[in-house]
Amino acid sequence: MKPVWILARREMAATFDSPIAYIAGAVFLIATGLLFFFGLGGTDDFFAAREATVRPLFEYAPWVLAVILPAVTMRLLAEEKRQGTLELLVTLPVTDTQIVLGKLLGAMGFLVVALAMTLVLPALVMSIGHPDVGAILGGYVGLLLIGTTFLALGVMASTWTQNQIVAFIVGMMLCMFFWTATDALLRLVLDQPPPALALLSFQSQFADFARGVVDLRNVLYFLSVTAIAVLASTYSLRSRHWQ
Amino acid sequence: MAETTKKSNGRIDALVMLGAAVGVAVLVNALAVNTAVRLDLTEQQVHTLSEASVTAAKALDDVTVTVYISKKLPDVIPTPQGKMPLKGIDRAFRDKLAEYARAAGGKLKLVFAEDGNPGVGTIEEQGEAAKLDAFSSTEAQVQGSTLKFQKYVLGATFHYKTVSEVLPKALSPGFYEFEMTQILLRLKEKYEQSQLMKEPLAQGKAVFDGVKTCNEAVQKAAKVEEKKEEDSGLSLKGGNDPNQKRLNAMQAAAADLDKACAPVAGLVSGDGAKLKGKNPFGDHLVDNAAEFDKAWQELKQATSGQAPAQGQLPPALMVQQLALLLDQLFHEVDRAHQTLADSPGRKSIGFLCGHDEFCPFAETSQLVDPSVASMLGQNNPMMKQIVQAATQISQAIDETNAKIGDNLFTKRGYSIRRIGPDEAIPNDVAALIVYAPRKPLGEYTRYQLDQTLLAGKPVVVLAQSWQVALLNMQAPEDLGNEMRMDWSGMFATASNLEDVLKAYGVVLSKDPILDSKHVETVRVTGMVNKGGLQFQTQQDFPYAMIPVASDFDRAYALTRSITSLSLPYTTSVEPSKELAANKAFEVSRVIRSSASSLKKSGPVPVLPQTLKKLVLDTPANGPHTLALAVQGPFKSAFAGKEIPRRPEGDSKDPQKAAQKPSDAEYELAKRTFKSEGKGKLLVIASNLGIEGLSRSDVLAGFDLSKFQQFSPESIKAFTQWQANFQNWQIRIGQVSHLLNENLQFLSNILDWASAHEALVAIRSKGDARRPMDDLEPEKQKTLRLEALVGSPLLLILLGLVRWRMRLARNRSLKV
Amino acid sequence: MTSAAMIQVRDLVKTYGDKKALNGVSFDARAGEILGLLGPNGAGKSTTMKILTTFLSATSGTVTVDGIDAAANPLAVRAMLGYLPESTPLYSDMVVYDYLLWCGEMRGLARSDVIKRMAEVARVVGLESVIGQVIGTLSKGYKQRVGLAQAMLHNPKILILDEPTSGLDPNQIIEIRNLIRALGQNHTLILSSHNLTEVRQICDRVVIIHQGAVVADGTLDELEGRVASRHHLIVGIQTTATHDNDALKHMLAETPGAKSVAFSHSSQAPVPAAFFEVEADTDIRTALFERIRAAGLTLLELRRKSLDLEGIFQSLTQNA
Repeated sequence: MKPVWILARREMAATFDSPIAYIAGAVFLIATGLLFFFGLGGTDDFFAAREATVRPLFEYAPWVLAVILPAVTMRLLAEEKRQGTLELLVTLPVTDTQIVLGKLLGAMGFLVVALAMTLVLPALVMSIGHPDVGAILGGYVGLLLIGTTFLALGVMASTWTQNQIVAFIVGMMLCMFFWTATDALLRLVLDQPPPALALLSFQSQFADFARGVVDLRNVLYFLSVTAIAVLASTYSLRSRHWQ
Repeated sequence: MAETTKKSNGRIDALVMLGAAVGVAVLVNALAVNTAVRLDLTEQQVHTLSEASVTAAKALDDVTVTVYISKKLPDVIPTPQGKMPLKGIDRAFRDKLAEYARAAGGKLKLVFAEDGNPGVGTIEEQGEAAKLDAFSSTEAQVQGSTLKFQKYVLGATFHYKTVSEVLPKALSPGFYEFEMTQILLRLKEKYEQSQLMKEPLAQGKAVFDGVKTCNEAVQKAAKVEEKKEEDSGLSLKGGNDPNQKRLNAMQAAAADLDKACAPVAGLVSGDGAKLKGKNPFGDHLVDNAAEFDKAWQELKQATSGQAPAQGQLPPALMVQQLALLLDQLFHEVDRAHQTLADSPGRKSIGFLCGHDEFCPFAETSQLVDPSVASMLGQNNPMMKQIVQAATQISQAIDETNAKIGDNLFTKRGYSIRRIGPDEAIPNDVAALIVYAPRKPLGEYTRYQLDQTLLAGKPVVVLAQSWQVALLNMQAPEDLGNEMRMDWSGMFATASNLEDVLKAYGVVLSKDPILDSKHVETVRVTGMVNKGGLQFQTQQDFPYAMIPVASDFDRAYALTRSITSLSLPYTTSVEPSKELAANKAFEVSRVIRSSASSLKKSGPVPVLPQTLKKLVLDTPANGPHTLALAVQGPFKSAFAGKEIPRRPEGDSKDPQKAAQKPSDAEYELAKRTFKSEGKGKLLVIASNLGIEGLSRSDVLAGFDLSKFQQFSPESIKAFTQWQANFQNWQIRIGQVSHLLNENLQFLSNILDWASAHEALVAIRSKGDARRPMDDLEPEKQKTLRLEALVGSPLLLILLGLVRWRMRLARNRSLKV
Repeated sequence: MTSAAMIQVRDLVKTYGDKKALNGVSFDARAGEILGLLGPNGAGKSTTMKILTTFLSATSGTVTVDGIDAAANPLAVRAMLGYLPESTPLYSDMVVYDYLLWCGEMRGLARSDVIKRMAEVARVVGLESVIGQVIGTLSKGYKQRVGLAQAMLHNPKILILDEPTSGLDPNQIIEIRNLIRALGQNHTLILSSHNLTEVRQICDRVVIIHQGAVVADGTLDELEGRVASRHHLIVGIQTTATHDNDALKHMLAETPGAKSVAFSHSSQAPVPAAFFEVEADTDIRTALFERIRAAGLTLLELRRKSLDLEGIFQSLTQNA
């Protein structure tokens, strides 16, 4: 697993060497901040609710992550393909799986930093009330998991094309689909979707984290989706052999 | 992972592998559906069963829980408060039950009601049969020619040995644990008590069964008739009169009916008589059963064909009406029996009444005796109207109080008892609540309180030293004008609790506690003139007189898992020096205000802005104790004194009149007098925003003698009563947004008082509100700006620093 | 030159859809030799190299590197290789130092070892002056050196360089060629090129690929022997008023041994001149010179026409 880490370290450095990270990071922070204080319609008022809670953050951050994270992952493999560096990369003595994992881990660097920067919000709330710190912790665990899953989907999209913009749009659509649309789409197709399918929705899987509960089932779900996305990315990389 | 570059069929291999991976993932996730490995990170372990629940689950062996969950629950259902989302609620319910089953270690079995078994009907039908509350969604379905709302059930029945309890509608996941543990605790007590109360229960059941058998027979005979009526539409004589037909059928079945109903009389005089006087629910049951028997006798007579007595209805009509009456009486008996069967396991809690407290009962006596009222009317029709209107107000007050008592307590499984000012506290009252009296307690009441405390029964005292009104209605000076908005202000109540509590070393202050930072809002109702129209408006202002306490004694069950509590118009309560120094007592400052709070002698200006200015200009001297719990060997306040005699009381109440105080009673009281005893006393220096509504307060100055003659004063007095009632509503409205949470706390107090301390902690952790400090708009703006701009700016700054460092490093790189 | 085959390529076939890129390519590379893969653009050199480096798999055929089947154990093979792909793709936003460090670490070297080795390599390829620069800001030549540096950083047994000099200016080309020659002294080296001169200067042995197949395989001497059976000369003669091009052509054709003469072109500056291509079976340069002198003409130029790749292919395929 050492190559994974070396690869990830380079990706992290590359991410934070480029202005994209700071633009995406700033957009993420401003967007979540605005949503946190004013809500989706811009009509809520965090202070007027007078409740010492960070819940709005966990309600809205996944929406923003679903848009921002694909912008971070879009270059990961598409750019390597376009520049031809992929050829050098995959002829290093590392497996395709290690490459995908390295890329994913590298992108997680951004996720962790972005989430860490949002800690100002809990800090603010703690300065003016007594929020449930445990619940906040649970929410962050959830954000980390759902963010990682979004990243894995983004990496997968990035392996499919050498055009970063295409990778971004496809990645974002995937994330949005899993985050929001599963329910609605299922409803379009089926009158009464079976409850098992409703579990596909990230939103229902994320709800427990936001309440401060880390449930194995939810963790398992996000890890499964991540694992499948990693596997699909690996096969997508490997597909050069059989083209 | 060794990598093999496939030469051929790579694509197919990959697809197969990917498919297999998805399959494995689905399988793993499906297998995990029933696992319960979870980490509850919340501070109060909100989503994990408490120790108390686990103990309760383990304490019963062989509990069977029949679970009714509709197959397809709607996503939202309409409620009076708006749409209520139900998504995922079935999973939460199932999970919680499974947690109990696991905690019980096999002693609690879950049985899920299933659809489609012949003869049992749908899950919804089964649930309703098991006394669950069905509910419906917004989506209606067309069935035949009618629009029908689909019914749903979500609940369970718990069976333990001979007793059972129902969780009728489980729509608040936050309270699942509380509800379920409460049921388990009650099952246990109910069973134990039912063993002790075996006899009365058996007697009650015998009477109930007798009545039931009779009623079923009667209703069957009466119903057969209606069917026949449809069949034979053409018969002319008597035959087409359904009542006549019913009479005929009843006469035909007279022997059967007699067989079914004859035992009722014997049961009432036998088992019923034995049951009577032991238990109020039993009394109710027997009374109704006796009524039932009386009606049955009449029915029997009506069907016997004897000529009706003078002034009576013809037999056919009589029979019809009596049959209906019997059915209604049966339902009363059924309800009484149900309550009796439920009564074991319920401890009754006494609420002191008669001092303008919060007293959730209807008055025991009528405002004006009907006979007197009718006499009044003969003299003066105007007077009659006023008295009628006053009676209406009085009834409205009674209804409000009774409804509060019913909804807040009885329906939640508490058994509460009204304790009048001149009433001895019965032995089966397990705890006494003195809820914010605004009038002084009399000597006898003080004595009763004293002895209850010394008997070791928990005594909870809530105090209300001030009435605060931001808007107050007054009767107009001139007749015929509209009511006017009068003063806003705060007025001291006439409570003598300070004096009462002093005897037990508790120093209750009359000075209001104000806070500059940690406060809740007050809701102000006002009138706005817009384009010539008056609009009522409501606005919330942070209010210094509603401090939010967040400093709780965690060692105390009552406050163990509360995060915050707002205490409107609170004063402070401290132990006296002697009490604090007395090692024999356990003194706990259960609730304390924040350090930013201050004590100021009242009254203070009540307008939010003015008050705020005052608070900001006054140095804080908090924290102050807002609730005090004392446990220890109390000395009687009446030691070495003459014990007060029970006053005669209200002669208008016939029941009371019958129980006139006697010398024998007084002798007994003297003999059983306790001068010392271990007790539990909890004093809260606020009424939690729940202000009592009482007849004597609203109808102040109601005096029949004054109304013997018409006068402008009487009209004015009447207008003032109306204003008083409205003012109560306004004062409650001021803090209405806080009541939900404070009522939770009140429920906790009742649980604490009835020694169900386990439940206290469970409820507290439910949906605890965590208020934030009151912030100036300027401060809010600053904080918001800091958070919104600060973090992105910091990020970009870090980027710049990183960039500069990289440049410097790159320049220095050498090989 | 040792005779052990470090790399064995057997019957490589690679099809992209309907298009056959390789059609049974087989050759060996012996340990310590510099093997040139020669062929025009699109001949299949790059595809062959991509299969050699396990970037791609062959549709059929095998590659064995130091006894290891590349398809079965690609990681072991990759570990033995240093590879410079065509047009030298590099992470342009990285600093040279970091990039080389990363490559070394990715290849499993300890950080301290990489740093030591990097110093050596940087000296060899001449990167010391730009080690702290961002790759994207470097000139093409330096980028190529970075590419070479990463390929040789881990001191691999085998270096595979795809068109290492393409796109460079003449001075850079000379430097890089010298570098590769030096490398060849202790590595097995396969390079591809479409430039015969380059191959001649660097390679010990040449494999010529044309249209997906090996058309020739041998040392340069051997190949040259085969191609050199024809002598192809360019002759430039100062023209005078009395000799028109036809006359000159005729005159040249009379030279003993000349098989054919063709007018190529004429020029006016600095002196009017006509150029002819003369083909012969043997070396007739002396005879030509004598003949021109005898005719009283001034010989301006007499040189062998350089072997261009197409020519070689023509001749090779014709010979085949």
